[in-house]
Amino acid sequence: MSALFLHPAFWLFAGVLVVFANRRRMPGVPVGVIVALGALLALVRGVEGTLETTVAGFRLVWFHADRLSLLFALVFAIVALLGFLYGSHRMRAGETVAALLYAGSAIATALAGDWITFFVFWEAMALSSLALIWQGGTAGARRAGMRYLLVHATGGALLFAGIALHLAGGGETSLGALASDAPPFWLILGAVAINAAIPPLHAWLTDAYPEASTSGSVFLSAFTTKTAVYALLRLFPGTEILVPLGAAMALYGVVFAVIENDIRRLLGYHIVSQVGYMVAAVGIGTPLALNGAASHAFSHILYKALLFMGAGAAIEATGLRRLSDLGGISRQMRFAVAMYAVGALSISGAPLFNGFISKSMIVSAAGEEHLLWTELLLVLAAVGTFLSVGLKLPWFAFFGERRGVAVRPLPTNLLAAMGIGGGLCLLYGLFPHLLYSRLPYLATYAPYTLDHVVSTAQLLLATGFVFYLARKTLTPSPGLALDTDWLYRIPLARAVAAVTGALGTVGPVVSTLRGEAVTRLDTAARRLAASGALPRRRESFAFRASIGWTVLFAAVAVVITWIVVWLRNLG
Amino acid sequence: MRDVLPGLLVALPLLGAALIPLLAALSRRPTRAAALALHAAILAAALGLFGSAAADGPIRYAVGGWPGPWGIELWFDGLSTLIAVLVAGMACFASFAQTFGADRNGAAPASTPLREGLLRGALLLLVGGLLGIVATRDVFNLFVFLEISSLAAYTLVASGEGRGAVAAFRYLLAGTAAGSLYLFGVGFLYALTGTLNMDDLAARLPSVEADAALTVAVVLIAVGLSIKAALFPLHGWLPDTYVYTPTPAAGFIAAVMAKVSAYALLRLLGEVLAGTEAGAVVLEVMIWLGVAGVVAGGALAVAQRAVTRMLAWSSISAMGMILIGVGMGSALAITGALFHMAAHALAKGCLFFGAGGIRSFEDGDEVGRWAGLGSRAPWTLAALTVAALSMIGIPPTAGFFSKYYLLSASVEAGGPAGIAAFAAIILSSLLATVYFLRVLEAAWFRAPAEAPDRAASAEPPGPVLPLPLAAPVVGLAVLVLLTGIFAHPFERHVLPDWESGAARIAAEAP
Repeated sequence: MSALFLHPAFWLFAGVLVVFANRRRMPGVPVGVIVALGALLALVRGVEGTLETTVAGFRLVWFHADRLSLLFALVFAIVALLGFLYGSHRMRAGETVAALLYAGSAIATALAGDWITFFVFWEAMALSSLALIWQGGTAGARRAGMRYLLVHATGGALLFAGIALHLAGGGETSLGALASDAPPFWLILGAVAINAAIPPLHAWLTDAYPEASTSGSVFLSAFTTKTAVYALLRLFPGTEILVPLGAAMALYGVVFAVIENDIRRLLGYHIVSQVGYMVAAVGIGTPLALNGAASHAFSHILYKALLFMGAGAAIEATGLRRLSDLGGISRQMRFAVAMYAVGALSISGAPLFNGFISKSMIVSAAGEEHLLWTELLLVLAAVGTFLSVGLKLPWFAFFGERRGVAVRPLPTNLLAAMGIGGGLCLLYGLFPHLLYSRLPYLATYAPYTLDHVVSTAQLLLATGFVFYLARKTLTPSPGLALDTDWLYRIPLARAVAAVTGALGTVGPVVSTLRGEAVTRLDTAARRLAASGALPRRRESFAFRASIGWTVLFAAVAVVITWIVVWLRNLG
Repeated sequence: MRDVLPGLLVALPLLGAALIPLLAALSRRPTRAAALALHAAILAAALGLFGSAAADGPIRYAVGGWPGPWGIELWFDGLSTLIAVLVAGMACFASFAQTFGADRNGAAPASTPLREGLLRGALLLLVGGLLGIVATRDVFNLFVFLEISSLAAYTLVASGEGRGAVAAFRYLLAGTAAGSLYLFGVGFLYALTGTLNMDDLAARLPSVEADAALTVAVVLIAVGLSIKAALFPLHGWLPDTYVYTPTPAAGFIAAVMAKVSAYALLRLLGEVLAGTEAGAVVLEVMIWLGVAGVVAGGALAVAQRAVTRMLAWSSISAMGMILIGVGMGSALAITGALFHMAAHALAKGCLFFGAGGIRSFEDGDEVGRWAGLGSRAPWTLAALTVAALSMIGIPPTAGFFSKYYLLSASVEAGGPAGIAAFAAIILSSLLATVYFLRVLEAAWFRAPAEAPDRAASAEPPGPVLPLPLAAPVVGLAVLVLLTGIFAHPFERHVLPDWESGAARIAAEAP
């Protein structure tokens, strides 16, 4: 039993019960903060090891801690703590339960040692994140949640099919890299690709994340895609197809981010873009690249949560979520804007911030393998990132012309969470070895070389100059930029409606037809016999039809079976 | 123990069915206690047999001391005792739920003590019939129990308000046709072999010439039982029956009725008639019909707007899945089919008790009526959520493991049928996600005010479900979880018993 307390997710799941049982008396967030702290403490020690039980004849390794899984679990616990602190002024019991389950499942997925456990928590993550989106409470959140559900249910089905095929085919029960020539490989890769938001399977992310509550989107930004990166690292290291996919993804997200108007959707596109770096790194597959993917995931979770907190702060303070509505509010929320700037510089990979120490590792790994195009695309994406997150968003949301937007003061807990987040981004940026000493693979890397620092600084300064020249054309316009989610928003939705509508009418039509046929027979028989007095109600036809159907089926079945048996005996 | 329990298991419910209505005519309260105690005793007997069969091997019991093949034998191995426990256990919940009488508007389905007693008697009769089917080793005796259970079920269905009587009549027609076809089949078999005992039949069939008569016999038995098991496309009776049956009976009938027939199919086609060529063909066809049923049932469940009707179509999908397992016939597939019977019975019983109660108390069956129930009755709704997750197949609920066994069996079987079954089961999970989460979303995330005309009424909302329904709902949800987590019986007892049975029959064949 004491082993149970070692498992960090246990703390979060126990918190669920406490919050659920006291849902009326106390706000759930203190519990959230406490249990997240417990999970964190359980992880900081970094105990490696394995715990397993046998359930329903399956050997379940529900705690398998090596350096890779501990790294992800640690950062998940950190961001969960930040999220609960950030939202503690507004999170109700329902949202707290969803967030606890979500964070706990993500940690447990990272610590799962076998396929079944992995699947359990993978699915729990999908369902609890769905609950978190629905907690947004608006009609838009409900519809976006339904679309999110469709995508993730498909992903879950793919994963289930892949795992079942893998295990039934005599595959290893413990998680490990998959052989690339079998169907399970592609099924599971498809499921992971959906969660990693690899285009064109990414639209669920930018569709749903902006619809959650401000605190909800902080949690959402951290777990689902990064668990997918973890899965890619664990299951698909060195899969070559991931390199072009990741590089394209990095640029794709940025392009959409540059034209986006909704601030959280803009940040959502940057998740796509940043995860693209990690996907490409997993594809490159050298120890340096894999370390780069893991460390970039670690950094990304911290600065992305910080950015979503900043965007949430703007929404909390003004109630507005579009760049074209915001503007000129920086004076009233200086600290939040400063912390947002830390996040923006981190995601742009500016030296001294934590994005720099991990992103440059991936770009260097691409360079070492002479993947020229990949390197070029990744650098281009970095330019676009700074342009949109570092310059465009703060310029139009926080600075720029004043529009007389009323700004409410921000609660202390929210600012504290942002302060801690910003502090962590700086801490890891200034002392990279804190992160590097936890990395799973054997590779040494020095980020602060003259070459790296100078080239990055030049790039960022040049981007700033370009933005200054082009700021007029970048002025955001209201309106929805539809992405590949158009495919299931319009044609698929119509097709589903048509199919279910048609299915709904099949039954009545069939019974009408049967009734019709029976009526005809009935009238014919009665004319012949010239005697009436049979009940005329529709049910009587249905009844007779059902007997007729049964007898007919039996007769046909007998004949067909007899023919088949006869044919078999012939052959 | 082994000498007494088999007789008690079948005799207790039949005896109780006669006595409980008499007792009810005298007084109501002791009737309830007596009926519950009786169901508990039946469950205890079933559990005792299960334990005994697991510990000391299968039990063969000659009724009246007449040994087979002349007398009627009862046969208790891992398979039959498992289903017996399932039936007896679900009956306990149903009997508890039968205490639920009036709905909020004061309409009382079981208002008079005598009426309640008669319904309790019918439930006991139904249980007796189903346990008889499960236990008997005699094909004609099976027909008798089939008719007993059917007659009791018609009574329970017809006791529903509104269209209950019509649904019952339709069920009666389908059930009677099914029984007749089965009886014809048995008649042919008897003419061919001169025996009705299953073991004897299995021993004699290999020496019977494979002619048209044998084919007719096998197919008629298969079609007859398939109707009762709601194998697509013979499922026509099911949706109306499940929807219009009063809630306490619906929870029981939807949970076990069709499954016991599927079990009979398994015994007869999978074991006794498996050696015949016609039997092999029928089993192969059954896989494909099962695949069609899984897909069609799931798709039509998505198309439904009323929750109970959606549950009914989802049952057709589940029966398809069970019959896929029966059709494949490998040890893995049979384990999956039996496991799915148990998983689906527990979850579907839970959902029908819950959805039926909500239909009575919230004046409607539409998904929108579930809006806001999550905040009013979180524990009940949490239980229903667990059951729904099991239907979808989310671990660690029972539904995940049963689907997992069936998927493994499909992979093992291979070929086009295996691939189709695999794809259909995965697809059914996907469809179930869509239709169940639609309901759960309304229950947990929509404000109750969105439900029409409830805000207008001044009275404060009471509990969503009365205790007689809420307790079974919560209890079954706990069982769904426990069955998932402690599923050893399926591997430890069912699998070896099935394998040894199949080996015995294979050994007797020349």
